[in-house]
Amino acid sequence: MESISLSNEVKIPKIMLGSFQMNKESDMDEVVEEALTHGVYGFDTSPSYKTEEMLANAIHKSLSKHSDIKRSDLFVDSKIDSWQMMEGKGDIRKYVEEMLEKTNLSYLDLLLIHWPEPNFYTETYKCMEKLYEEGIIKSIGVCNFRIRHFERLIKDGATITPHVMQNEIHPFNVEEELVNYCKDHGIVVQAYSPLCRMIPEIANDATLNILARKYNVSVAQLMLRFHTERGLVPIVKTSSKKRVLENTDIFGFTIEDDDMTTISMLDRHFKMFLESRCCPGY
Amino acid sequence: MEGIIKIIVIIALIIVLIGILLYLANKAYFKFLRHDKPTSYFKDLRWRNTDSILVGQGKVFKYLYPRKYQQKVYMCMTYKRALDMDFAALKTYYSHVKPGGTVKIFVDYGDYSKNKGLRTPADYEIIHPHIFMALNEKKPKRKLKYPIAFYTRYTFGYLFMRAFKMVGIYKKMEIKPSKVSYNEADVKAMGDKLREMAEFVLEREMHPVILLMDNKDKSINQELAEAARAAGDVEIRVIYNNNDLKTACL
Repeated sequence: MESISLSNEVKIPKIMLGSFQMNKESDMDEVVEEALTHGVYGFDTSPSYKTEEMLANAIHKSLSKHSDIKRSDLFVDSKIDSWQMMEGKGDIRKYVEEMLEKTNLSYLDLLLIHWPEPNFYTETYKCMEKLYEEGIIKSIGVCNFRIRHFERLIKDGATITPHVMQNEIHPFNVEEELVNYCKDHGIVVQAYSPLCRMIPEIANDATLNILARKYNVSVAQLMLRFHTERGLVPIVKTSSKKRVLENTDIFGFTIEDDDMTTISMLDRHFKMFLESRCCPGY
Repeated sequence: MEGIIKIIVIIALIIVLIGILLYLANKAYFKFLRHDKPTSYFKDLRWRNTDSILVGQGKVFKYLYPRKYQQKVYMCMTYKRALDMDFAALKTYYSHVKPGGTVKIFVDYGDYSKNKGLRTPADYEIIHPHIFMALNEKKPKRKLKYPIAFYTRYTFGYLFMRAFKMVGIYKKMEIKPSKVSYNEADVKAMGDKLREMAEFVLEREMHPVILLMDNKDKSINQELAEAARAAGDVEIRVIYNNNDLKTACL
C-alpha cells in the first residue's frame, strides 16, 4: 500500500486499522492476518483500548506466516493516556518502556498524546521529544488537539513540531481550519472515527448515498476515499475479516472536486467523542 | 417479664421500620440522582451543539422546572455544590455547547461559604474522575453506597427538595434575596474563582454569562461582578425574582 512521508521522512501508510473496542483475540488475529495479506500495514492502539498486547501478538503471529514482510514494513502507533501523564507528572518514559517490553515490538513508529491533559501535556510532550531523540520511538504526535494546544506547546518550549495529529474527523466534522493548520506546519493528520461509527444519520445520509451510487462504492468507501483525497490517514476499525478488504479497497476511484466540496458541506460540528467529557478542562 | 418482652419487640420493630425507611430513602436518592445525572454522551447522541450550558447550584434550583435537558440548554445546575465543583462540572460538560455558544454560571453568595469544600455523592457521580485525581482526592467508594448514612444532612435535604419539587410545592413560591453578610475573604475568593471560570470560557471562545442571585447587601454582587469582568467580555445579570431566573437560565 502507498504511504505518506512525515516531516522526518518516516513513512506512514495511507490507511490504518484501529483497535478501539476490539476485545476478541480471535477477531484481532483474523483482522491483522487479513490486513497483512492485502498489504495494509498500519495499526493503531492505545493503553486505554487494552489492545496493545493483543495487537502485538496478532502482528507477531502474522509476521511468522509472512516471511516476506518485516517489522520495519509495518507502522504501529500507540498513545499515552491521561492517567499515565497524571501519574508520571509528564514523565512517561516508564510506560513506553513497559509497553515495548510487553508487546516485544522493539520500537514504536509513532507515539501520540491521547488527550491534552491540561496540567501535563506539555511536559509529556517534552519527555516524548527525548524518547524520539533516543530513537525509542520513530515519530511523535498528538491527538484531539485544537490550535490553542499547539500554540501552548510552542510557548512552553517544545522544540519538535509534532509529526502527526490524530483527531475525530468525518463528513459531519470536517475540521477544515485545523487540518489546514496542520498542513501549513507539515503535520500529517490521522482521522479517527472516519466513518462516524456509521451512525444512522451518516449511513442513511442522502448526499452520501447518492455519491456512493455515482462512484459505485459503499458509503464507507466513499468516506474513506474522501479522507485520503484530503491527504488524511483514516484509521478504520473493524472486527470483521471481510470488512478489512472493503474498507481498504478505496484507491480504485477518485472523487471529483465538486463532490469533495459537497461532502465537506455536510459538516455540522458533530462529534462522537465530546472533548470535555473525555478530558475535563480540555 | 411479659412487659419487658413487649418493649423489646416494640423496639425491634421500630429499629426494623427505621432501617426499612432509611433503605428506601437511600434507594430514592439514587433514583433522583440518576434522573438528574447527565446522559452518557456516547450512548445518547442528542444534546450536542446546544446553545448554552447552565452550571451552578443553589436554593433556587428548586424553582427551576426544566425538562431533563432542553435542546437549547445543557443543564448542569444542581441543589448544593461547592463552587470549585461547579467549575469542575463546567470543565467536564462544556463540550456539549456549540462553538461560540454561551456558558451560564449561576452563583449565590448566600450559599458560597456554606458549601466551601463540600463534596457530595452527586459530585463523584457526575464529575470526571480525573478532576479528583488532579486534586489528589480519592473517591470514598464505600461511603457513596450509603449516602443516607454518610451524607445524611445533604441526602435528606436533596430528597425533600426533590419530593417537594415533584409535587409542585415550590411552583407558587417567590425567590428571596440572600441575606448573608459581607465577608471580605469570601467575596475575594469567590470573585477570583468567577474570574478564573470566565477566563476558562473565554479561552475556549465562548460567551460567559454570570448570573448573580440578588443579595441584601448590594455591594457584594457589585464586587463579584467587577472581579469576573476582569477576565474580559463577561455578561453579568442579577436575579431578583422567579421570572428573571427562568428567563436567564432556561
